[in-house]
Amino acid sequence: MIKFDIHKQFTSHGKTVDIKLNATCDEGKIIAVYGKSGVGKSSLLRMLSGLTTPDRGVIAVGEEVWYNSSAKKNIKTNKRNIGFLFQDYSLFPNMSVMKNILYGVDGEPDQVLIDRIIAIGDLKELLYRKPESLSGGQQQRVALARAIVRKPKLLLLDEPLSALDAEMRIKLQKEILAINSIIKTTILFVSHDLPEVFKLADEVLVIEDGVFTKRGTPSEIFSTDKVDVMGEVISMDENEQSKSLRILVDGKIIGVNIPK
Amino acid sequence: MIDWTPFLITLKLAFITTSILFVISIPISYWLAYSKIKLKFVFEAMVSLPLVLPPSVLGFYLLVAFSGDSPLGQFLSNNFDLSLPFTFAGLVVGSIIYSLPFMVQPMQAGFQNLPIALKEASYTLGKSRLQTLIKVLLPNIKASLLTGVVLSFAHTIGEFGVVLMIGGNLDETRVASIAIYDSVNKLDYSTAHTYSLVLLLFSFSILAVVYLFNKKGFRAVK
Repeated sequence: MIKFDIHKQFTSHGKTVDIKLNATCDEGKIIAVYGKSGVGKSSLLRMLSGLTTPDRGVIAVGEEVWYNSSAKKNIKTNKRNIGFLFQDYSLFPNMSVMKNILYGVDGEPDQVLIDRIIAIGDLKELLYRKPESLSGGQQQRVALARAIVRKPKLLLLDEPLSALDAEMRIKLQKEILAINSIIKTTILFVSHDLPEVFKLADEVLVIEDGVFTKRGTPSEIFSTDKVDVMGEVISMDENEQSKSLRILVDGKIIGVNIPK
Repeated sequence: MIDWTPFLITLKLAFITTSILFVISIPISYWLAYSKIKLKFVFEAMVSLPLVLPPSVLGFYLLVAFSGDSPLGQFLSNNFDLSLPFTFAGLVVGSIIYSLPFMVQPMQAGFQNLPIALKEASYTLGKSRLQTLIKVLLPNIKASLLTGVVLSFAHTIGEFGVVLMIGGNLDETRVASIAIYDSVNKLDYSTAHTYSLVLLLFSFSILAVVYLFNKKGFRAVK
């Protein structure tokens, strides 16, 4: 069980945003944090990881309290047992792919797990290459392997697929699901890509201006209410209660109902 | 027959100064690169002061600070039986202070040019600040480290004002640049020519080797 109730004021794109986020997430679930840019999605992940300190609040993962402003407790990032996948991969240029993957492993590595992750990510041929020689998709697969090989309690993905082309995005989505079926960790991922949310998420937390405004499964959230979607409207039906739109987003068709 | 002693003293001074500077400049430049305290500019100005201060001014203040009458001089004398003016140890201390910006500034720039996400990725993978520094940051600023080492070494070799003020012109403290000055004063232009040529070739060789290494792959991470 992951619980957080955090407050932070920050400035994004010249605008002050008050983040007041609280939620309880079941272990092993994949949860999407969905919203526009600058509403506090990435800040949430950074606060959960410890890279950014909230102004006040509580973060607890299982029995462990990672942050409690009242008790002046703030566990450092390196002690939180998390995995964090950055948008720009952030592989270490001085290390081979293999060394990158094993960087976060302390003690004896779980060779069976490592072999499975390497197989799922199709990384066998890349193990002794340096990151600079890899494509964006390959780098993100290595970064994913590196983040999960240490079996984190919480895996945080900050728009991990946004820099990739459609084909590589679908491949990585499959990889994330395959890997989570092995390590069964809780995954919180930030996205503004609806097909990605539908593909990966068990639950969606919709964030607007620093607060969660809706929570539910992807189909609950996106078929019953109004959501801003970046895409092309290809058809629209209207009745007395609602408008039904079919929208083309990144090659996929999403159905959206807008109550009147 | 040319006396090579000034060159040996110069090389010894440059080697010791550079080694000590390398070690102390890593934490200083790391702090300057990443600290967010408001008064950081004061410390940056202090580190860079030797770049603009006339060497004789710096040398004079150090001589005064190290003298037996000053609190620092008395402290060193009473506790460590150490007297710095007109000794090789004094030259080392003076050279370290004088060459500090030449080591710190390239290192600081190296740290600042690294993507911050590299550091953060290392923390999220369970590594401490020290482990991150040793395993990720330093290996990725090799070019900056090499630049700092070479600039400090070359700068120490070429020092004149500070070493003259602190070390004088004694057998123990006569470095190559002072030996040249000494020879010219004695109108011994032949020896001055020889010393100058050796210093010129030596300095050029060092820089040529650095540029060669930089070309061959000691590149900073963009």
